[in-house]
Amino acid sequence: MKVSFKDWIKSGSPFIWLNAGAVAISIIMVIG
Amino acid sequence: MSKITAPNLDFNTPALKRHRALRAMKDKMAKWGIAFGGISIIGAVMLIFFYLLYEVAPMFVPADVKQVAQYELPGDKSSATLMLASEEQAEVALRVQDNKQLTFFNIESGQAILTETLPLQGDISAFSLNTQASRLMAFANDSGQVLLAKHNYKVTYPNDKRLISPWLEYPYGEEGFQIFEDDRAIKLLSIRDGEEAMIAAAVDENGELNVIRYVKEEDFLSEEVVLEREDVSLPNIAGKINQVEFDQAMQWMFILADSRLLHVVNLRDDSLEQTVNLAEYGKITSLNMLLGENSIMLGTANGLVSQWFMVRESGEWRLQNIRQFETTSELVSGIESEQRRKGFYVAGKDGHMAIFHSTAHRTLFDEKLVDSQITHFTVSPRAKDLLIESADGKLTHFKVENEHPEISWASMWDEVWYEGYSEADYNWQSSASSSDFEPKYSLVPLAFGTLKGAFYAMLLAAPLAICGAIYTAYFMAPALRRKVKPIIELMEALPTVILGFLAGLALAPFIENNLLGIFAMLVVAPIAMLAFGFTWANLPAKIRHALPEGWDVLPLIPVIILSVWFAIEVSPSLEGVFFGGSMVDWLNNEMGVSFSQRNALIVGLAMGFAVIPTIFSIAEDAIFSVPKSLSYGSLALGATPWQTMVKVVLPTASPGIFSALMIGLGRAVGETMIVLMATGNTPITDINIFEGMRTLAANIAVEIPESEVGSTHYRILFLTGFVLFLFTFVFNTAAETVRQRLRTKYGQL
Repeated sequence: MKVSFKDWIKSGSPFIWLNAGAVAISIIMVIG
Repeated sequence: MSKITAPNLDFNTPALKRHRALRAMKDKMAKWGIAFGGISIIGAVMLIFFYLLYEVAPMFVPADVKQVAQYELPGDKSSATLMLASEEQAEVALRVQDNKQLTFFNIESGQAILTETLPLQGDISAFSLNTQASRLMAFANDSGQVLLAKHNYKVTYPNDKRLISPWLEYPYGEEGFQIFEDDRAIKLLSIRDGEEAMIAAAVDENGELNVIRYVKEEDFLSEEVVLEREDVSLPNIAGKINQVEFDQAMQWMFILADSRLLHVVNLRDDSLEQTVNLAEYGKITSLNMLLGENSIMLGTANGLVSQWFMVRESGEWRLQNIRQFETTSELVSGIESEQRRKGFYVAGKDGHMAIFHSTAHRTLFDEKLVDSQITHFTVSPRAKDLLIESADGKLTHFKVENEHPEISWASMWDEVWYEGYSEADYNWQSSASSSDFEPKYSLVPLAFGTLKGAFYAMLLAAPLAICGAIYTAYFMAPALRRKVKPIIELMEALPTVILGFLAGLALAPFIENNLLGIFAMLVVAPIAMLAFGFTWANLPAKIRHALPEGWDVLPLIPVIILSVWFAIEVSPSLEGVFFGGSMVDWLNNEMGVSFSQRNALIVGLAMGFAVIPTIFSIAEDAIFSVPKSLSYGSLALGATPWQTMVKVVLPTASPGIFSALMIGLGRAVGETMIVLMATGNTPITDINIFEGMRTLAANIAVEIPESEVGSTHYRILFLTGFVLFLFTFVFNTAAETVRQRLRTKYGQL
C-alpha cells in the first residue's frame, strides 16, 4: 500500500526516523 | 470432613533468632554506612568550599601599617632632605640632602652607615629622580651643571650573615653636563633615562624651559656609551612652570604650569598636543608618575588624586582623566608609586597617609600615621616598608602588610580602563615579562568563555543525545538496544585529552578547509534521513518486513555516511559559486567575521562528543523507566507511537531528561582538556562561533603551574575555581528544583 507524503508526516514517522538518525550518528561517531 | 489445622511453626528457634539478629545488624550497618558516605560527601564538598575561601579571602583584606621604629634624622640635620630611598631588603635606606651629602643608614636604628659627598661645584639648585626603581638621581647646581648619580647596594655573606654595602655610582661620569649653553642656574630639573636615550628638562631663574635629548650610542669596541646631544625646540608654554615629567617611551612631556594648567608636548614632532585646564579639580599640589611612567597622578589641595594617561581616539591623542581617588585628608602633599605594582601612596595633611591601587580603584589604607606634616616619604621596592620624614625632624619606619591590592570587585567584574587602551574593557592578562606591567584580572572573559563553550557543546549534544535516547528506549528492538546502549556509553570512556588532541590537530584544520561542507551536512543529512524514511515506507511490504521492526538504525548508517560524503565533496564547488572560492575568506573579508582555526565550533563538536554519552545514558534510563502500561494505554486509545511518545512518555520522563541535560551542562562547564587543546585559549568576550575562548577550568590548567604560591595571581586562580564551583552549584541546585517540580507535576501520571 502506497503511503502519501501527507499521511507519512501525520503519522509522526519523520520524527522517529530523525531520532533513529541521531542514534546512527552517535554510532558513527564512536566507530569513526 | 477432616479439619485442617495450621502447622505449628516456631519463629523463635535459635537459628531464626540468630538470622534476625544478623539481618538487623546488617540493616544497621548499611544505614550507618550510607549515612557516613553521604555525610562524608557533604563534608568533602564543604572542605573544598572552605579551602577555596581560605585561599581567596586574603585578597580582600585591607592594608595594615604598623610603626616599628622612630629616630632622629641621620646625617646633617640642618640641611634639607631632597629624597628618601630604600634598597631591596629594606635594611639600608638613603637620605639625600641639599648639602650635597648622601647618607646611607640602617633602617631599623637610623645609624649612619656611609656618607658620600657629590663631586658637584657650588650648591644644589635643583634635583630630579628618574624613577625610584632605577635609583638614578640628577642634581643641578647654580652654574647649570647637571650630575647623575645612582645609589647601588652590594650584598655579601661574611660569616653566613647578610651584609648590604651601599655605594654610589656616576653612570655618565663625574663631570656632569650642561643643559643650557651658558652657565645659567637651573631651578627646576627633570630627567627620564631609557635604554636608547635620555631626556632632560631644565627651567632657569626666569622660567625659561630647555629640553635636551641625548641619544645613546654604544662604542662597538669599548662598549662605552656615548651620549649624542639633540636640542628639542619647544612650542610656547603658557604659565609659570611648576613641574615637568616624561612618559616612559619619551613621546610625551607633561608640563604643569600655574598649578592648574597641564601642557602635553609631543616629543616626536615637538608640538603642543593639548593643554588641560585643571582648575575644576582645584589647585594641583602634587604630581608624580605611576609605575611604568604612562599615568600621571595629580593630587589637589582638596584631597583628591586623579589618574590621567594618553588615549588614542579616532586617530588623535588626548590626555584622559581615567579615575579619581578620594582621601580623608584636606590636602595632597606628596604621591609616590610602588616600584613593582600599580599601587601608590599619598601623603596628606598633618601626617595623613593613604594607600591606593590604580587598576583595582581600591582604597587600601587611609589614616593619620605621624603627628606632624609629612615632608618626605619612600616605599621600599617590595612595598613592605614605609619610611616617613616628618616636619618635627623625625624619621619613622613602618611595616606595611599589603599583599594583594590588585583585586577588587570592580577589577574582576566591571569594565576597567587599562593603561594604553582606548576605552574601558574586560580583559584577562595575568602576567608579562616586564615588572611595570599592569595585570588585568577581569573574570568576565573567562566566565563568558566557559558559558560559550558549554552552550555550543550543548547545542550539538542535547538534540543528538535526547533524540538518540528517545529512539533507543522506546522504538529500538530490545536485542539491538542491548548492543547500542553500551556502544554509545563507550564514548565516555575516551580520554578527553585524546578528544582535545584530535579536535585541535585533525578536526580544526579539516573544518577550516571544509567549512561549507560542515554546514551543508546539517541540511543534507536530515534530508537524506527523511527521504530514506519516506522511500522505506513506500517499499513493498516484503522488503520492509525483511528488516525487523526497531532495526531502522542500521540502514540509516550508510545513508548518513553517504550524505556526509556528498556534503563534503560538493562543498568546494559551492564555495566557488557562492563564496568566491573560500568561505573562511568570505567571512573574514566580506562579512567582517573573524575566523580562527581553533574556535567554538571545534569545541562544540569535540565537547559535544564528550557530553553526548552522559546525557544519553541518563535520559535513556528515564524514558525506558516510564511504565509500559502508560504507553500501551495511549496506543490502545488510538494514539500513534509518536503521539504516545510526545504526549505521554516524554512528560513522564521529563524530570530525568532535565537532570540528564543539567548533568551534561555541568560536565561541559567543568571540561578542561578539550577546551585547552581545541581552542586558542584567547580570553576574549565574543559570541562569534568562529572565535576561540578561554574557560575558567582551562585557565587554571594553563596558569597554575607558572604562578607563584601565595601570590595574587595564584589566589585569583583559586577564585576562578571558586567561581566554577559556584557555577556548578547554581546549575545543580536549579536543576534539582526544576526536577522536583516536574516530578510533582507528572508523578501522578
